[in-house]
Amino acid sequence: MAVQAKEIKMRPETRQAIKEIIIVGGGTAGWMTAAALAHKLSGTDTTITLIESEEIGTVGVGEATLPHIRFFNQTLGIDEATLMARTSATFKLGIEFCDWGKIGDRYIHPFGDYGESIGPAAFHHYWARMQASGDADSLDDYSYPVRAAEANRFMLPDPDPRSIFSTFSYAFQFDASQYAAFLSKFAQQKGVRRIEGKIVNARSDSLTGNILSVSLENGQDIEGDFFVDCSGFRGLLIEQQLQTGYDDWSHYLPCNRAIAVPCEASDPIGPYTRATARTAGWQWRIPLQHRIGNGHVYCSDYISDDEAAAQLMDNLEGPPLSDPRQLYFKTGKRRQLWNKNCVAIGLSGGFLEPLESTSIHLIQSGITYLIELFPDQKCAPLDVQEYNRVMDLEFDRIRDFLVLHYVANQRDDAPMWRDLREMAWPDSLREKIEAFRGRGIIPQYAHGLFLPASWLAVFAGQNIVPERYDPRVDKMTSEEIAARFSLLREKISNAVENTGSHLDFIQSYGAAVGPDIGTWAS
Amino acid sequence: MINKNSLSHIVIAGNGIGIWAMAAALAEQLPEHTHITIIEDSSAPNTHEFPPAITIDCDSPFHQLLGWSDAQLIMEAGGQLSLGTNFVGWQGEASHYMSAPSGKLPGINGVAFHHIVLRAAMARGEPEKLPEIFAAFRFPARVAMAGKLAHGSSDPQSPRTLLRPSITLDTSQYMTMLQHQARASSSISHHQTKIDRLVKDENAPTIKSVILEDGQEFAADLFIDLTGLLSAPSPSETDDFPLPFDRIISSQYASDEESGPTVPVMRAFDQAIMMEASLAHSNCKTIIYPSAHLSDDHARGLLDSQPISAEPGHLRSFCNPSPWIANLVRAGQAAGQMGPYLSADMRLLHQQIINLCNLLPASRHMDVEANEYNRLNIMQFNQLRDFYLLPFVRNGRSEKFWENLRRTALPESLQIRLDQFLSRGRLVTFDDEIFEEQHWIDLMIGFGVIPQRFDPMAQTIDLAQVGPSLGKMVDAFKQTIDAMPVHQIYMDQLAAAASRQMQTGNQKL
Repeated sequence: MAVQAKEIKMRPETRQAIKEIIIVGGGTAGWMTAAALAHKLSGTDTTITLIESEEIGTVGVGEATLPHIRFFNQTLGIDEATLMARTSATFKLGIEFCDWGKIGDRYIHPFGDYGESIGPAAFHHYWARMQASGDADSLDDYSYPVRAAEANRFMLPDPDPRSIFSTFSYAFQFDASQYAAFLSKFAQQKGVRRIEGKIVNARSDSLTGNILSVSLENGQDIEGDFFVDCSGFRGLLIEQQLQTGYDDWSHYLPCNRAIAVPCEASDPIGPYTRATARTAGWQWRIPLQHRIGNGHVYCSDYISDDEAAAQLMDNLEGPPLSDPRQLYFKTGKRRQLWNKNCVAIGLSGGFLEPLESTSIHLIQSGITYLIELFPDQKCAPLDVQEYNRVMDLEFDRIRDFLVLHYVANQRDDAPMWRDLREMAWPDSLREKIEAFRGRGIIPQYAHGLFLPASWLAVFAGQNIVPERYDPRVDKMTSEEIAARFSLLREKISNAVENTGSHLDFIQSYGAAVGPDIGTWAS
Repeated sequence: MINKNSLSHIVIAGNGIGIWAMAAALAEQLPEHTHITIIEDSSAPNTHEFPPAITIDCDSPFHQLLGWSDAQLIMEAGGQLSLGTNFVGWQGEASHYMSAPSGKLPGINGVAFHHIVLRAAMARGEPEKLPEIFAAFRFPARVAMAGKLAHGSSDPQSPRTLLRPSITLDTSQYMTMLQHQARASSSISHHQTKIDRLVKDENAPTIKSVILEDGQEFAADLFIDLTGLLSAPSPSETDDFPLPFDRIISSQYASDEESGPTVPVMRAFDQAIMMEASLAHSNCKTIIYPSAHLSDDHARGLLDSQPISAEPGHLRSFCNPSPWIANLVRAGQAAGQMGPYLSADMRLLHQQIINLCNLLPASRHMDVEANEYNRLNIMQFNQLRDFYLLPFVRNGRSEKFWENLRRTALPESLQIRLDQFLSRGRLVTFDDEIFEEQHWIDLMIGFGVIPQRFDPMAQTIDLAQVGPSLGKMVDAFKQTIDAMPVHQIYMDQLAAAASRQMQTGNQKL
């Protein structure tokens, strides 16, 4: 079907297309990259090889996703219900944060907007005025996805923008290792060659510094034009071979360890993830169809591993399903995500802790931009710079959003929370907080993950309230605004009433785990 | 209750169109208890005025804010719709390039449309012919070149969804409209006099009041300066638009129907640019030129019509990096100027007014509002600048003057865009883009930025299969264009409809 490349008269300097892509490491990052590249490059004569070793485990705790992943799956032509059934997935409407502002506080950061258009000012300005006069309670009252999540209900969004059911998006909570397995099968069907083996060495061109090949424990040498490092924290190529360097962000995001353990479910399987702040970190709860994923992310300066493990085990809702697993990390970002002929995708590129489920998203952005800037053999410095520029923007803006959760706290029970409040915040974040507190101005940018509604959710959820609001709000009387608010609350509460249960929806959607899943997954 | 010191009094100072545009928008947006005082000093030297005709997008957010329809602008400001701007002489003496904003052309299998065309051009061994081949797919430009006109369509199947019409207005009639709208508001008062002095607040950087020559004093929470009456230019102003033009001269003369161009024209001469536009009853010309290279007489000769004022105006391009300081907001020519290129200065003014409306301070503590306004101002200036610079730096004329323009040192953001597009046909976008991506892509290709390679994914597209569908697309474009009314007939229909609409509106009143 495809026209032969040689038919095309390209300019001489551009003839050197990439022929061999080597992906180092399986796991979520490796197989997402392999699947996307295989899909995109099918029909060209570029081959893709993925090297992974069963001996080296994957981290695979990234179980909660963001709505963007649906676009990734759709592009690959993956059926959503099938994928959900194969990965024990549940739906996700947002993340609940407990005890972050003060102990006892809770809010949901939803995948959706608050309120509706009332006048020239943004909705939250009307809310700020109502709040100041004591006439509006929580922003949550004005978000369908928040109220639906709390009620453990779910339905698909309505494409009609006039419907209240169009005001949200959704993601999944799934078993990341099953997702990787699913994509592994997909990618191999699309022609990706999988090599089992442990890489012991890499060879670079002494002149250009480009990586030429990697060699396996069994002596096999695998050559390639372009390498994607998905080897996890150790950064086998990007760091061990290319010595790219790491920007350490642990002064802003000090948590450096995690303990993960699955347990049986006893609370409802709601369409949302929970993050509960603890004395020296926080604990996640990710409900899947067949189990609950739990983990305790903490900072070792403030708590011992044993205490951290005890805190986690004391706070499980059901019996553990395996022994807890310990993970170590350092928050930050590789100084260049793309260096020479190697791109780092996944943990090899950086880690910003799992608080807002951004790990898989950063993998996805890394892949998207790699495809957009897909190089030829020369890896033009222009493209490398551009890739690093856009990925730096992604990382920086996500970092500020994550740091916000930590610094906007009023907890007085533990030294970590006090230290985080008192530390030097990134200037870019301090400005954002001041702009919101001063006048309800919310960050807005085209290149970056979190939209204004997300910032609003966390600001308001952690008790940063605008001291002043848009003067245009005063064009309406309090009574007029109150009437609109009350209608909206009613509309949302009726909408939630008319939404069925989350688990029933999974069943009827054909997304429930079937009996054959065990054999398939192995 | 918060908003304790809610905005109760605003002073707007300056002269010309800016003060009226600002006052009309603020009065529309603010509650009645906010009083607006306009201080118009028409004796103050107006170093820079707008050209006699300006062209604004039909769906302009500024006009939406004022509640103005195309019909109203056609009736009251001589509005003429157009789908693009004709760049004449930019690639060489007799060349034409129709620059037309456009919706996004559909890609195939995730490959952007222009890469498919590029691949086809390369397959024929003629990458340099890309602009020519690609032109067949630039539907809005083709409509404009055929002398046809229509509004966009909401039917996604129709090529008319790609159309982005704009409206050319008579600047003085437009100003009258703004004045009417502002004067109709009970919260605005207007004083035509000179300013004597400003009174500062004690121990604060803020302005307390302004005292007029006749002794009247107006205290306010916020002072808005449109022409520099309240503020000396900031010393840090920089020339951010690196073009050598420093003189401007315009003419406007009565015309018969159909005597002027149906779309605005940007005509390149050796050492000068002439902008031409036709309105309902007049034609307008504006020339900009560098005084170091071209005499005023020569410029008047090019104008070939009676200039509005015999003496050419001065043109200076700059962007004030902090137009809002304490309780003084600068907008219009006090905040930055670019020039009359494609109505750049009017676009900037509209944008600044919208920014200010969205950031109106709620108290005397307005640092965060000011920071955001200043950030947006420079970002939007840069967006416009990059877009308007492109034809200059990619011109194809042979004179020394134009050769030098090709060597202009570029702002970093434009350099990144050009480098990426040239190397691989990828359009880099930044935050808060003003122009649609397709418009950028079209302009790049139109001005000869031919990517050195196509998206590798475009190789997977079967040209033998795609070729005929592209052919069908071109045919469908042609059929649609053939069925569209010619410019003047469509305008007549619009004017008749507008007139009926206004009459019914009046009857209702």
